[in-house]
Amino acid sequence: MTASTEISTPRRSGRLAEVALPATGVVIGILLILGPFLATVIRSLLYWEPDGVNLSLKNFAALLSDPRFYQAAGNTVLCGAGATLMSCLLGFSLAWIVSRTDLPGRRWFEIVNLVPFFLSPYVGAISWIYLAAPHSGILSQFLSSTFGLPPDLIPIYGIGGAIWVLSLFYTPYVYLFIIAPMRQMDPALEDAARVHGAGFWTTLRHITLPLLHPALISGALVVFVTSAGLFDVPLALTAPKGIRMMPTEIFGLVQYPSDFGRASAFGVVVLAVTVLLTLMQRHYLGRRRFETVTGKGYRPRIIALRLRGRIAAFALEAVYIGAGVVLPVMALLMVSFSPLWTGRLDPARLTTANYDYVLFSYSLTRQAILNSLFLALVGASAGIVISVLQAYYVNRGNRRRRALVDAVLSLPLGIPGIILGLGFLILAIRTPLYSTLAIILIAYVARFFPFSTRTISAMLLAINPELEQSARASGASWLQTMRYVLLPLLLPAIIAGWLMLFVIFIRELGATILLYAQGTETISVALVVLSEHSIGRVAALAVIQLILLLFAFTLFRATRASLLG
Amino acid sequence: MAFLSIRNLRKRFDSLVAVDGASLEVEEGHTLALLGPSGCGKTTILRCLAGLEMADEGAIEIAGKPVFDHAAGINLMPEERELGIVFQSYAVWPHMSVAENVAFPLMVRGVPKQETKDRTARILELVGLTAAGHKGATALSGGQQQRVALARALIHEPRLVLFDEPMSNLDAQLRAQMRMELSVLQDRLGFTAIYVTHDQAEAFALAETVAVMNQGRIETVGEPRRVFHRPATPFVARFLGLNVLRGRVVAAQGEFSRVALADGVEIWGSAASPLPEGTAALLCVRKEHVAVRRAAAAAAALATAQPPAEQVFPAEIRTASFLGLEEEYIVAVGGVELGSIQPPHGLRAGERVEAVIRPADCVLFADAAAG
Repeated sequence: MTASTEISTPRRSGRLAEVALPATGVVIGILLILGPFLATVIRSLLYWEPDGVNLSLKNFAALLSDPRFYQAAGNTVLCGAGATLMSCLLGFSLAWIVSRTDLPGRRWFEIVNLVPFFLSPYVGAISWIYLAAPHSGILSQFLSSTFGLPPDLIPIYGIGGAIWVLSLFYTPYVYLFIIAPMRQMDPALEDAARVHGAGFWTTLRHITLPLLHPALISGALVVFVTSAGLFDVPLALTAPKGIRMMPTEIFGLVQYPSDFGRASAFGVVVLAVTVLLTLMQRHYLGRRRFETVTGKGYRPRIIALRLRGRIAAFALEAVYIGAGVVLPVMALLMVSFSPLWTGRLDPARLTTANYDYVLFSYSLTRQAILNSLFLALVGASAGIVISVLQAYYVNRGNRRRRALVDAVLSLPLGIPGIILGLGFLILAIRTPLYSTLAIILIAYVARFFPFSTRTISAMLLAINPELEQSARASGASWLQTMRYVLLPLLLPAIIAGWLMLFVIFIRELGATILLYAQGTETISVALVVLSEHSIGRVAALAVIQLILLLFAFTLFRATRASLLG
Repeated sequence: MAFLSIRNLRKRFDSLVAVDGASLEVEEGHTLALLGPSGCGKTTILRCLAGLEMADEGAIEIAGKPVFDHAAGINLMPEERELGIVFQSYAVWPHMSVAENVAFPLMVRGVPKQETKDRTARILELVGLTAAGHKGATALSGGQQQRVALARALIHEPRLVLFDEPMSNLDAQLRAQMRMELSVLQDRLGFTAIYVTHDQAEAFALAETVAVMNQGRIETVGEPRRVFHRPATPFVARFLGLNVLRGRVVAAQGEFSRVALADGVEIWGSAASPLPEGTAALLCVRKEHVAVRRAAAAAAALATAQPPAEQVFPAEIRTASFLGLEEEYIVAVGGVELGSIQPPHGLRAGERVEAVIRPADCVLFADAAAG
């Protein structure tokens, strides 16, 4: 065996792209997380005293000795826990109804149950104020005039109201987490229990629920951290009554006279709790990930409902869709077409004046719509590019580093928008980026890229690497393999991820509220600004935002449908 | 100079040693089958050949060109190695038509459109898919997808084609048919093939050379008949389904030794190098070589001093299963159970029979595991 004399030099350029491009996506992601994270931590340790800036824990001491901190923390946990519990009950029931029963119209319900996922929680909260505000609310008036109930029966302002509205918006999260494993579950697992003597409820309790446990825990944790961290609903429903909540407290600390040190300390506490919860969840699920998902496509056992079951299932669907979609949209439309809202629709005096105002007359709202569109289009595109690169790295990259990279890149999933906004505010405050659309854009991508990365990663996981490997062995370079094989295969996930980012960016409020300046308002910010003046105009702008969101939802359905069919 | 040579290849995944110093050579136009149980490292060798994994040590040379050499720091990318590959999953791209799948290697090489079209048509005809060219690739059956994968691996006329368990998802009939077609294609196109499989019949039918692997090492390499008839190691014997019995040498005579098995049964066998008396030994005998016949008379097993041409043992059928062309029995000779495959005799469990075994058919190894 003699060694060959002519030794060919391999081309290095191809390998460079293969390694460098996915790594770039990962590095950008890490910087986007690390920047605001470090900024918040460092700022929380800086304390201004008469003799200058000192590194100290005084911000934390001040925060932790303030009873308002404990009130806010307690209320936030209570609100998050309440919303989580209700979302889990609703999400599980709805998922079960559409995937495991013969309820007529379940295909239709399956789609409509997802609509609240695409709507804005802030708009949801204000439309529930239109519906249920004491005395003036549409529902309140209807209940008191028809049934003689007291006109302030529904406590929409307060923690109960916040839990109600949050549950409506977070139910689809649990629903989405549950429905796939519920479908993929081998019906024989339940059949075996029934045959061996367990009744319906015993089977549900001992077989179905334990099997869906990992999915349910994931869904519950995501709902808890995101609902507790959401700024929109407390701003509309608890702040007016002076009830302290974490997101509104942090917002208050940054307003004049601001105390960035204490706000950052608060942020660090929240960051620590969120990161801890996320890591616990990963650890917990890491041990039992493969229990339910067998990969085989089973046809789930469909249960024939009896009359009473049918009525109950219909009633639940009606309450959910009514409260989550139909009533809020109706209220918005009624308010937006009325010249002066009195709690009653006067058909003789309908007008489009509010729409004229927000679309054409008022420069702030006009600019806000353009800004939101710009942020959503550019942000979703930028986000999806780094998501594809990250998902590639996490599924196909260096085997040793994958798990760690995945864990780090998932961190923003739970970080409240207002805290990330605070981090970017501290980072940008003395730079040219301050009060530009660019900093808002960066914050959006940083906060939400893990969502699209997850979507793409889930699809990439299902693509056999041999599909790419046979392209390479056929003579295609890495870039050609991406271009002709992987990206076309990922297209459904890329479109879905893009639309999801678009929707999130169109309605984002928590991060924007700290980062906007004159001229860089978004639709959601404009809604907050307008709400101090005229509720008719708020409603009109909310309807415009709603149309954009529903448009994205329709596209989402259309692409999904055409791809599946 | 061999067309393909692999020298001292090593590959580990964290603590698992997947390939532990494998060396192989294949002549141009020949087929090498890598045979072994799952996890033995055969697929890892194939993936190292394709450039889909990078080995930790060793060298690979294809057609006189080093494609991997750890010492020299050479590692060509998969697309630079000019080969074709057929995966177990077929890896047919679901978003492309059959013709697009097959034409892909030409497309990425910038072959002109008309030529691509002609060559695609030709190769599709060769694999019997002319009518399916415009179809979506996933609309095809498993066997047809396999042909698409095959056509795609051959269209750019690679001189080396790699097969990673390509038939294991096909039913038995289709498998036999594809095996024949593959042989015909290879004769016509003259490519060299590496064929990974855990199915010995497939390996023997397709390959000029078979390498049996175990735990990352190559146990034996050779021409199929030789590998099969004279297993080189106890592992190979077990993997190929021979009876492997543990005993101790009680008498030796040239290449023949008499081995005492459990329960006082003694059988003559032959070893490549003579085994002295007292050696712990493994006796391997193919099921086809354990003949059974209805007992003529109550014969007693005699421990002869000389190796007889054939040994006859009184035995009893434990279980019998009818396989169609043949019957498989488990035969008890004293306390020793032997598998036997014979033409259908219609013997039933519990029948008294005679087992006939020729010493020349019994291969002896020193038993390394015994103290």
